[in-house]
This record gives sequence, structure tokens and C-alpha cells, in this order.
Amino acid sequence: MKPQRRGIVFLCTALLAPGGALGQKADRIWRVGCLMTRTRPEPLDSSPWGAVPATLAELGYVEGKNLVIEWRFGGGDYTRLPALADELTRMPVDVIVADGTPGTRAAQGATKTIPIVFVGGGDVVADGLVKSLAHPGGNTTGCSLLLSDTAAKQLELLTAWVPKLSSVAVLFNPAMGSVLKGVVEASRLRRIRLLSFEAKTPAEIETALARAAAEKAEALVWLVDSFLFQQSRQIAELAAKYGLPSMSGYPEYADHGGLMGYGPNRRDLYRKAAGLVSKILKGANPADLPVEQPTRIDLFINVRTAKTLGLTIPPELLLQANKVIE
Amino acid sequence: MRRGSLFLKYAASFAVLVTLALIASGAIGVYSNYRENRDELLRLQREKAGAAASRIEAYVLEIEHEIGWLGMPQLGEAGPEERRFEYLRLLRQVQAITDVSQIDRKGREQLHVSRLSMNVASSDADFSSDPRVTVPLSGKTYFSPVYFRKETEPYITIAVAGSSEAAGITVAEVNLKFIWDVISRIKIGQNGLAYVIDGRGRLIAHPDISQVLKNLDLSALPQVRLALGAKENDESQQVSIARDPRGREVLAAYASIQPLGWHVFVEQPLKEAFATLDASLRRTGLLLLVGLVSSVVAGVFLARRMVEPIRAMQAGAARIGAGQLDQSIDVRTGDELEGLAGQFNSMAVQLKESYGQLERKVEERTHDLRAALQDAEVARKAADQHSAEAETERARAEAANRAKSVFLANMSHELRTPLNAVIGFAQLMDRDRSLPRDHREHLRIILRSGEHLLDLINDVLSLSKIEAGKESLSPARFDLLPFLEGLTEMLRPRCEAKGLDFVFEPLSSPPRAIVGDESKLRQILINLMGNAIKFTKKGRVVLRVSWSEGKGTLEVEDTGPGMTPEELAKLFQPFVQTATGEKAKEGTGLGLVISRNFARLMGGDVTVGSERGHGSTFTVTALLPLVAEGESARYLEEERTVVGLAVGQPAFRLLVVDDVPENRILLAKLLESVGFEVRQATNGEQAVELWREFQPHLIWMDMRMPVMDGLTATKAIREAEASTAAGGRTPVKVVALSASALEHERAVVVESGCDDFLAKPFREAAVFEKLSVHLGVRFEYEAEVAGSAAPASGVLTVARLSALPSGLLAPLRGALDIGDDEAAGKLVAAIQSADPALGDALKEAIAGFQVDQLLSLLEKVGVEA
Repeated sequence: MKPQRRGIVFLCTALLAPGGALGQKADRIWRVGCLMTRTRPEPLDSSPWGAVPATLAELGYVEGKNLVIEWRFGGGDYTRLPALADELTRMPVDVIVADGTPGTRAAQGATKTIPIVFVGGGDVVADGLVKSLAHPGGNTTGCSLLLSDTAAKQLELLTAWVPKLSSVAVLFNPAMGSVLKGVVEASRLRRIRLLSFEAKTPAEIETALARAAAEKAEALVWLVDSFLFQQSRQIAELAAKYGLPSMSGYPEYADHGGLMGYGPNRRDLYRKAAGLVSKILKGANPADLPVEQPTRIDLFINVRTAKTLGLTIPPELLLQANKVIE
Repeated sequence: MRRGSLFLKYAASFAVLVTLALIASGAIGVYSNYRENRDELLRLQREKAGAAASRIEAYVLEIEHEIGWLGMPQLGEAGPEERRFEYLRLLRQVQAITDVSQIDRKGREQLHVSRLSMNVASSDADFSSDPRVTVPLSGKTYFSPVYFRKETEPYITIAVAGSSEAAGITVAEVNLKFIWDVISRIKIGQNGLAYVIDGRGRLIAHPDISQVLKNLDLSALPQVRLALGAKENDESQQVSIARDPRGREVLAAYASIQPLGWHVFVEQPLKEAFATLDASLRRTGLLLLVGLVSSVVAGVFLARRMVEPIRAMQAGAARIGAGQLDQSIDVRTGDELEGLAGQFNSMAVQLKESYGQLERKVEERTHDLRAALQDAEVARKAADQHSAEAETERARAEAANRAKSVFLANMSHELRTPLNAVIGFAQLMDRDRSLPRDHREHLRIILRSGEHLLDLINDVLSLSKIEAGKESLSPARFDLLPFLEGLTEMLRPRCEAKGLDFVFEPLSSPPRAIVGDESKLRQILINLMGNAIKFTKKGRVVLRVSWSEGKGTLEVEDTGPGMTPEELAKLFQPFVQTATGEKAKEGTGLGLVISRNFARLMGGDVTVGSERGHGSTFTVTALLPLVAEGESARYLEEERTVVGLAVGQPAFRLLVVDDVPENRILLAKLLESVGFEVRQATNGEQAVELWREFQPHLIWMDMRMPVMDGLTATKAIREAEASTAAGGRTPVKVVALSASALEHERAVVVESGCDDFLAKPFREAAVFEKLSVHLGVRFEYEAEVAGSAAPASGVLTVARLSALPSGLLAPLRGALDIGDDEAAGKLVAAIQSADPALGDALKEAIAGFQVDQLLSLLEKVGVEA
């Protein structure tokens, strides 16, 4: 009798065991490499990139559980990016999230197989990052910044401050390329003289702004670029020094002391990028994932800087502003 | 196997019962569970679709409402600057709107405010024929088809006419990605999703944007077709099991967004949707299995509890049956089984007591028996020895006897063949009237001696046949009284010659035709009466006859010397003669033995009563049944002497085949003497040859011959006849001849193709009779001859003889029969005194050796008398 009972218990256990085992998925640790052009911000979560781990966690990829994010920061030095990209490729990671056109180019140089999700860049088709927005092809997709579109809008917004704007200084990093085009077209339309200045180093920024002031520029626009964004506080200080109302495609510029920032919400973009990463990890082919465009455009205004410059905020801007910094 | 059968039965029936109950309840449970779960799932799915639809609808309506608000009358009066502000405020409030413009009722664009590009005032662009103008003017909100900006950004245009003319038409470009956010956030299980199609079945929102960008037309999917075809507010068919665009089986539900004509679909892979259902089915199955296993276990346990006492009882009963009566059955179930076991135990006790008594009795009896057995053993040993000796002796005697019989049979056969020739030729010579008288006397002596020798041999043969068990009866019909009278007439002269009285006491009403072996009966009576006459010196011989109910009793009583008891005891043994018989120096000593055996063959016996000095009485009994009623009474035809063939017949050709010349020539001569054409053959081969050549009408075929025997020859002839059937020849008649007296040979020869059988030695009459039967030959007989050939001396007739006193004729016949010429001579002398002519004729006939003819004539007289 005893052996029989033991047999029954065994039988029941054997029948129940597979059910229990089937309930659990075999764990796999995913690796996502993030190739950032700037210096590491502290804390990480304060930056737009913080949206990446947060969003992935929402989608079921939790750091420390089934996800490892390999952060690599170029510290604004684009020459370091290819080495960092190689490093990620050799690990290897499952997906690379690349920041801006320089980051994307470095990643594309390092691998043709590991999927790359970019965030930023100007005209990504014109810059050759993807074949088309709807069908990117290759191993790259991502979220574009609409930079060339908003450049013209920036000029319009500046005219709200300076109604009879006649000459504007444009500061840009030549590495960015295509972005300048939109500003040039908009200035022509508005019959505004455009003074353009290239800058790849803080010193060149200083020189450029000095020259802009000397050439009687009435306002300053600087074009989206990681390096310039890293130097946004320096630019804001120099603009204040020379009494130039300044603005940028980064809404955060206002936070850093600039008069105004108008552009896509970066945190939103990185959230979208994380969504694309999730799709790729689930097996989607990046070549088939259309490049996403930003949906949220933010306008930040720094009231203190306006006061310093002796300007009052136009009501229409106040109406549009998503954030007003006192 | 048999031991476990009850156990198995109990266990199996219990398990089956519980299993059936479990399966039934399990099946019902599973079914209702499935139904409930499925309905619940479908309801949930429908709710999800409804919720998604209402969210999207609310979102779009909110936008519409916001836009519509811009057309309020109070705003209509506002200047362009004011309007621009309102537009900026709208953009600020509704993130999904990227551009908003005002078009007047003539279709001219008055203001365009954009989130991305620069604002334009009074572009004056003409939209008068665009639906964004025409539809709102007709009083409806305009929702454009979905279009894409920058390849990937889905947009629709919503246009609302203002309430006043001045307000014109407000047109907004709405980024649908916000709807996608709504769609993407709808969680449908692990792998389910929601998507939106427009009124034409095109995919406009999907969590996977690439699906939308493919510009998919889903109107071919059954669930989509169903939704497109459904009437407004008809939600009866909103859930179905279908396949998604990738071909997976899904549980699909939809809800409609009325103002847009869109449909929100919620789909979940069937496998996932029914996962809980499957799990519950699995659980139920598992429970069922556990139930089954436990029912089997319980069945086994219960059956064992029930069967064990029964087994104990079975084993106990088996032990009691095997005689182990001191064993008791131990069953303590407290129920009927325990009672039954108790009954078994008390039965065993009683059996044990009975056995005890029985054993004691058996012991006593055994003791007695053993003593008796010891005594018997001694006696048995003695008896065994004795009986073994007797057995050996008997076997030896039997073997010797059988050997003797065979020897005698062979011997007599060998003797008869030459004797046949002797007698035959003597008879033949006797026919020759030219022989001198004294020679004919010698011939008569030869004949008489031969015939006596033949009798002797016949007796020996008969005895050997009897002893060999080969004697058989030849029953035929005959009339008892004439038979007996003939017999007495025959013997009476001898009696009277010795001076003895012969008394015949016939039965009062003799039966007419009875069946029996007349010749054997005659032989018995002649023998007994012959003995009586022979041994009686003075006094008388009496023949008494009685018959009743098929049984005849014939007594022969004499006043002879009688016999001592010792003699009586040896009387019926072969070759033993009484003292008197020995003195007489006559007979073979076989007569009584043969007589008794014949009588016994006839279903009777011969017994004797005798006392020394007071004569003897022999009694013969025999079964002589009446001839069946209706059968024509045919009397034995008297033998008549054939003297020739009747005139007017064809010439008959006969072939005689025999290797023994004497026999062959005898028969040939006999036949030739009558007038047949006869040829002879010495063996079968010659016979066949002659058959071809001579074409005889009949063949006398001896059976035992060298070169080719009779059987083979006959077969050869029959075969040849069959093959040469042409020609229409009448098949030759074949009569087999054999010296073998054994009856069974007849069957063999007839089988081989012979028509008839004639045993040797044969009588002339038998030969002629066969010819008459088989060839239809008609003969002329002596009487006729006598009548015709010698009309002058026509005294020897039946009529003349009948006139004589019976006291003369019968003795004459008897004397002639036994060849007592002396007595015959005396009798003829007596007749001569009464009828001199007849006496002369008789004298001449006897002298002329026409005794046969005379006898037959006398017999006729006897019959007619």
C-alpha cells in the first residue's frame, strides 16, 4: 500500500510540475548601448536620456533584471565616438541608441548589423542616415528633430521680441551641416540679414559672439548641436554680455540662461526611441520601422534674462510658452 | 487467475462506477466552465473595444469642440490680431493640432497659424471648392481622410463652420499620432492590440506604425467586413473568432466611432485569450485524473477488504475438502461472512467425528479381511496352477483338433477325386448293355464298394466340416409325411429281413410343406434307424414322429441290447464305438456324431435314453418351420433318367475344362452320350482359345487347374466378351466345377463371372438340370423312352406299380436304395406272384442295372399314393 501512495504523489507532482515550469519565461538579459555625444549628466535621470531606462522599464525591460544599459559619453568630443561605438559593438549589445548625427555616424561606422536607434539630427535623409523616413532601410531608424523646420519658426519668434529685426547672427557647428539651410531660407523670406558664425570650440564661440556684436547683430540664433548645447551656458552669458536676445532649438536653453528655447521635447523623443528599442528587442527589423517625428514642440522663456536685456515678454509668446522661467 | 477474479470484479466495478460519475460531473463542469469563461472573455473584449472607441471618440470630439469654439459669434467680430491670439491659445491647448487657419465663406484663407512654420496672414489662397469649405458650409463637421506629413506623420483635417458669417470656417490639421498614443496605451493582455480602420477599411491607427504606413486595406478580413456591413448601433455581431492580418487566430471585437465612421478593433491571440480557459480545463482534467487514481486505489482497498474474508473461507473450505478437518476458518468481519465461516467450522467438526467412527469400523473390517485374504491367497495359488495347466491342455487339444480337421478335409478331397472317377466309370460301363452278366455283377460290386467308400469319405468330410465349423444347411421345402413314409418303406424290408417288427407311428395331422434340410434329416434318420436295425436281434424298431409349432421330434426306439452308462457317456464321441458296435465290425463310428451335429445345426439335438438290456431310445429334435403362406408349394422334382435330347432343338456345343483327365473324360462322355457336341480343354488357356474357336453354348469350368485356373479363364472370357461386344453373341454360360465342398466358394465363383456352381462329385441329374436351367435344353427321359421305345412291354408304369400292395413297393424301394440285391430279389419274386408281367419287368430292370430309373418310378408311385 505505501509504495502505491508514493507512486500517486509522484504522478501528481509530475503532472503539476510542467504547468508550473511553463508559467515562467526563460530569462534573457538584454544589452542596450547608449552612445551619447556629451558629458554624463548627474543625475542621469535629470537629462532627456533618463527617459530611456524609464520607458524601457514601462515596456518590460527593467535594468538589473533583464536589461543592462551600457552608457558611453563622448564628452562633446566627436572624435572619441567611433572608438566608443566599437566598444559597444564588441560587447556586443543588442541595440545601440545613438545621439545626434555624429553619434549615429559613429555607430553606423562600427556595425552594419546591430540595430541603431538615433535621436536627433537634422534632415536625416539628406544627411544619409536613412534612405527614407517611412522605410529607413539598413540597420538604422530613430526619431528626427525637425530641426530645419523649427529654424524658421525661431526667427519668427524672435521678431515677437524685436519687431523690426533686420540682422541676426547665426552660430552653428559645421559638423551639423543641413540645419543652416532652413534658417537661410526663412531669413530671406523675412528680409533679415543673416550673419553666420562657425564654432567648434568654446574659444571660437567667444570670438564668434564678439564679432556678431561688432557687426551689430540684433539677435542671436544658434543651431542645434550637441557641442553647442553643452556650451549653452557660455553662449547665454556671452549673449547677455553683448545684450543680444538669443534663442535656440533646445527649449532647455532658457533654463541655462538663454532668452528663449523652441523645439521638440527631448524627453518625449527619447521615450519614443525607447519604444523603438523595445520593438527591435521584440524582433522588429529597424529597416521597416519608420523614422518618427516629434509631436511635442515646447517653448521655454527666461523672464530674468528678458529683464536683464530690458525686454518685456510679448503676450502672444506668453500665450504659447510651455515654461516661463522667473 | 480464478483466485483473483472476485477481487478484480469488485475493484473494477468500483473504479468504473466512480470513474463514470467523475467523468460525467467533470464533463459537465468543463462544459459550463468553458461556456462561462468564453462568454466572459467575449464580454471583456467587447468592453475593451468600446472603451477604446469611446476614448478616441472623446478625443476627436474634444478637438472638434475646441475648433468649434473658435467659430463662436463673439469671436467672429474680433480682429485678425485677436483671432491670431485665439489660434495660438488653441495650439497651446491642443498639442495634436499643428496648424489652424481661418477661411472665409468664399473660400479664401484669411489666417494661418502654425506650430512649425511661420504664421501667415491673408494669404488669400483659394479653397472654395475644397471639401474643407464645402462640407462645413452644408452644416456638418468635416473630417478629411488620413494623410501623411513628412512621410510618416498621419494627419486629418477637421473643418468647422463658424456660427456667424464673419467667423468663416476654422480648419485644423490634427496629428493623429496622439490617437496612436491612445491606441498604444490600450493593453489587451500580453500580446493583444487595438487598431483603428476608417470607413473604407483602411488601417489608420495601429500600435505598430509601420503597419499603418504600409497603407493596408483590411476590408477583406471577415471581422472588418462584418463591421463595415453592420448597421448603426447594431452590436450583436461585435465579437468573433477570426484571423488577424498576419494569419494568427484571434478573438476580435470592435466598436464604432460614429462621427468619423471609424471602427476600433481589439484583438487578442486566441491562445492567450483562452489561456485561463485552457488552464481551467487542465485543472479539471488533472482533478479528474487524481479522482480516477484515487477511485482505483479506493476500489482496490475496498475490494480487498471484501474479498479477503471470502478468500480465507475459500482456502478453509479447500483445506476441509482436502481432509484437513482440524483446521478452522478464521473470519472476523462481524457479518454474514463470519456466520458462514462458523457454519463451515461446525461442519468440519461434524465431518471429523464421522470420519473417526468410520475409520474405526474400517479398521475392524480390514483386520477381518486381511485374515480372509491370507486364506484365499493360499487357495488361489493352488487354483492358479491348476487352471494354467488346464488352459495349456485345452489350447493344445484345440490346436490338434483343428489340425486334424484340416487334414481330414484335404485328405477326403484327395480321396474323392479318384473315387469319383472309379464310380463314374463304373456307372458308365454299367450303361453298356453289351457287357456279360458276370462282369456287370462285378461292376455292381465295384459300384457298391465305391459308394460305401464315398459314404465313409463323406462322413469324414462332414465331420471335419462340422469340427471346422464349416458345415451349413441347405434348407428347401419338403413334405414331411411322404418323406418319412419313403424312409420307412426303405428300411422296413431290412427290419423284416431280420425278423424285427417295424412300427411307424406318424403324427396325426402332418404339415404339408415345411422348410428344412431334407438330406441331412434323412441322413440322421437312416443312421439312427440303421443302427437300431443293426443292433437289435429281436423285438422291434419304432419310429415316432410328432410336430408342433415348427419343431419336429422324431424318436427311434429299439429293443436292442441297450448301453451301460459308460457307453452312453462315450456315445457321441467320434471314432468311438460301443462294445456291440465294435463286435459288428461295421460303420465308421462317425454316424452318431454327425447326426447330433446335423441336428444341432437344425436347431435341435440328438439325445439318447438307454439301459443295458432294455433297449435304447434316440430322440431327434429339429426346427422345421412351415413354408410361408401364399408361396406356391413346389415339390421336389423326382429325378428321372435322361436318355437323350428332345427333338427339335439346335445342336448344343459344350466345353468341358478340367486338368484331371478322368473327371474331364467322364463328364464329356456323359454329355456326348446324351447327344451334345462336346470339346475338352485341360487348362484355362486352352479353354479361352477353344471358346473363341468353338463358340460353345456352355462351359463346364474346373476351378483348380495348372497354367491358368478356372477363375482367371472365366474373367478373361468375360473381358473378351465385353470388348468384342459387337456381333451380338449371347454370352457363354459358365458353370464352375469344384471338388471343394465349401459353400462359400460359390460366392467367389459367381462373382468372377460364372453363372452357376456344381460341386464334385456330381450326380448326372444335377448336370442335366444345370443344362436345362441355363440353356433351356429339353431332355427325353427313360420312362418316356420306356413308354415309347417298348410299348409292348409297357408294364413298368406308375399305374401298374400303384396297383401293387404298398407292403411290397416300399420295401423294394428301400432295398434298391441301399443296394440290397438279395432283399430286392426276394421282393421281386413276391411281386411276380401277384403280377407276373410286372415282376418280370422288374427283374429285367434290376438285372439291366436300371435301378435308378426304377427307383424314380417307385418314388413317383409313393408320391402319388
